[in-house]
Amino acid sequence: MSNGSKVVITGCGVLTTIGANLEEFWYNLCNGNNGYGPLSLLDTTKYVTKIGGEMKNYNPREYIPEYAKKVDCLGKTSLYALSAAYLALKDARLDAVEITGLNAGSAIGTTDGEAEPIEKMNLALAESDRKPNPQVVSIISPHRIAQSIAREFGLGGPVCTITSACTAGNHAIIFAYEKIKSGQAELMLAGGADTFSRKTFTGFNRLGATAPELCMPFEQDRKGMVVSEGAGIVVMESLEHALERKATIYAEVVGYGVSCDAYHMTIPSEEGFAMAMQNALDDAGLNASDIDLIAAHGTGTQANDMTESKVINRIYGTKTAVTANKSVLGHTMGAASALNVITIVLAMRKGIMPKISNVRAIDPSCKINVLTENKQNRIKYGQANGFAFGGNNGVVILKNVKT
Amino acid sequence: MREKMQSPIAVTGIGVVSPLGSGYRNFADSVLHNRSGIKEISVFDTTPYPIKIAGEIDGFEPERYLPKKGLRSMDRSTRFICAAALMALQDAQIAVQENNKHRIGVITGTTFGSLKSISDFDIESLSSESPLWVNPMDFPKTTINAPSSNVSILTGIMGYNTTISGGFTSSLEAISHSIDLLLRKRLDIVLACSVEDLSLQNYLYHCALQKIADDGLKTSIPFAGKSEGYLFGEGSVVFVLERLEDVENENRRSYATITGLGQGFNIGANSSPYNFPQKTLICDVLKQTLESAGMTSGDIKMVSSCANGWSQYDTAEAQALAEVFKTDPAITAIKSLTGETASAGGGFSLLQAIVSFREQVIPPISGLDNPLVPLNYVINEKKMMGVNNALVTSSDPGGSYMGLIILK
Repeated sequence: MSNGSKVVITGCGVLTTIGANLEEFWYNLCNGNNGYGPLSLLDTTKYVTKIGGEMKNYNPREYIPEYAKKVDCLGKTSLYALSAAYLALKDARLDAVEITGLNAGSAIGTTDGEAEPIEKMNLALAESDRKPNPQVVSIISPHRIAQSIAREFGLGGPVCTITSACTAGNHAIIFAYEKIKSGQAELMLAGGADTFSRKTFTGFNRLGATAPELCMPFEQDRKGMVVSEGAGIVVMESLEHALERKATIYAEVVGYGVSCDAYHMTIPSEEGFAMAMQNALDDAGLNASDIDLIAAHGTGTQANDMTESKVINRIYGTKTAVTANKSVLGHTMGAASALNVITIVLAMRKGIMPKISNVRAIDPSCKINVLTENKQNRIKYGQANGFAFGGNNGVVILKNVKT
Repeated sequence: MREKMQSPIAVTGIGVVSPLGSGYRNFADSVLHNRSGIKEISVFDTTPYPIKIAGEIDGFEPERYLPKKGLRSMDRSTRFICAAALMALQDAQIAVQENNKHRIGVITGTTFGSLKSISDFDIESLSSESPLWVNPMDFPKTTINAPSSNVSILTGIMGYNTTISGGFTSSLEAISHSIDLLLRKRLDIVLACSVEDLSLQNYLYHCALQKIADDGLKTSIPFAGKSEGYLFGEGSVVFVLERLEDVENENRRSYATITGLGQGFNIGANSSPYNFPQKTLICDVLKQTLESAGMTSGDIKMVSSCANGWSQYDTAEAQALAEVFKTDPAITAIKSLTGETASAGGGFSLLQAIVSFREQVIPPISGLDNPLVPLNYVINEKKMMGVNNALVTSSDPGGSYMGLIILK
């Protein structure tokens, strides 16, 4: 393996149903304030499930300067990603002007891309309008999400939208890591974004995978996942670049693991999960016992939580603490694994391991160290899991650089 | 990638499903005989729309390539990519086995996966009495990574599977990511795939990007500078990529080696749906690509260009090529035969260059007679000449531009 530059995280931005700034996000995560409830985005009368996560009162003007000039060419997912990117830059104490012209780029993961304009197109077609509004149709492509960030900040380097479903955020962070490691970029804005998708809500509802009230990862009475939305973006830099600009370094990306189940589109496989986690440990040169905290994929479905806990138990035993932010966030799809990375970074910054909310009794067959209470603890190494439809897996390991 | 590429990457297998035929031989024969794959669209009714023709794949028999089991649940994109992937593995004589399945990856460039599958599922939920009357079997097809994931499910490849949605630069973005992972030895073999399918929804998207007059669009000729749009095309190209050193150590065949890669993004505010790569950016990326291959502009013998006939798309590239290359490499482009295959476009341009290597011929830009910028285009007749290197370009109207250099 080549010894490229070290890659560090120097800023985080969250746009979520539990908060659009890090303090609020952290407070609600640690206090178990769920960010989902009865849906207003669509009429749920004929659905079994009535709840989901939605960004209430989201106003792009609060985050994006000169928003009015951009209305026609940006879809809602691009706006979410852009809003989180502005927040991440602010956290990294970087001015938008400072990164213009740098050898910098963007890598954003998404499951459904621009769900909203696609739904508008579909609605027109369903109503036998054979010519949906071309202005709407022209912004349906997911590749505009990463591009919108590059355009906004004048980034001339690698620009890439990754669409490996619910692990896309981690895959985007991995993509960015490789670009910095190989010297193709010195700074990347990377993460994930998704807007609430009617199609995805319908699909999970139809599969019987959605929870009626609460997302309860690893709880014995768990009833499923909660479809949600949001964005999480991190600023990633080469260590040299971060040191040169005297940035506050929050964490180092020390390794990652990827794998594919090669098994089934919707049923997870232990072999695939295990390979991604072992692969990440090997890449980071760590033993399983070095990992203090895992931000689990933890969707709250029977299948995921059973598979994930079996693999965690097998590789990490019962010592490594496991958290799952989907209990309060719901499943933010392409943003989910990036929000796991941010959860690890915040846990390191605060020295607190956040609990999994809504867990009354841990499923006895999930033999892992489920955090049911927040725990003060210095975290040296943390791990963010991401798994997805199609068996696309991605795991990222972070090191706390505070000594 | 301003520095020189660390070591070369070999192309050891090819799979293709295209409007010019499936399999390398059929594809190459069509290119050599200048046979166009543009035809009347049959997959949906074009009556209400201005463009009636496209690079549509007809006569593709999935049963010839794919196992019967599971075929019914595969959409058009998935069938194309899975067939091309199996062809490519066979061509490279690679068997996915217990001892190598963890070291092989699949990296796919596709903008929507299958936009039709996404849209149909949603429309079905809107049109039925209850939204839950949808067929649950159709839901997994609606994730953009479904075509790529099916390649793994079919072949057993476990090392990695991801999907890149990059618009017209999807293919080369997938190749670029593949190179990163191969050079860092995270994987030993990558299937760098790309796929685009023709459907009403995808066609509507491509029409929405253009300004098409009501009397439609009959041709789109690269570098002709006549058209306000392009004809759309579909297809899938899969390349098996490996480190050249491994291939040489094992004395195996390679079709070409990738020695240089460049990429850049056009600086343009979020104030218009378009952000065409401009001449300055393209010149910069071309120079970067040459530097990464350790070459100078005088070394390049052939350019397989991404030009598609859309005048504002082609002009900047033609001007940049004129500025960077003083010694006139032979310039060709494939899209008058295939249409703009978008996500698979870079794959088809790369394949065209490999056809030139193998067949000792540079195919002409079909239909071009009066180019908008003077360059050494291959016009009318194919050039019977062997070339030992080529530059492949790819450009997205949203701002991404990429270059790739291959050696014979």
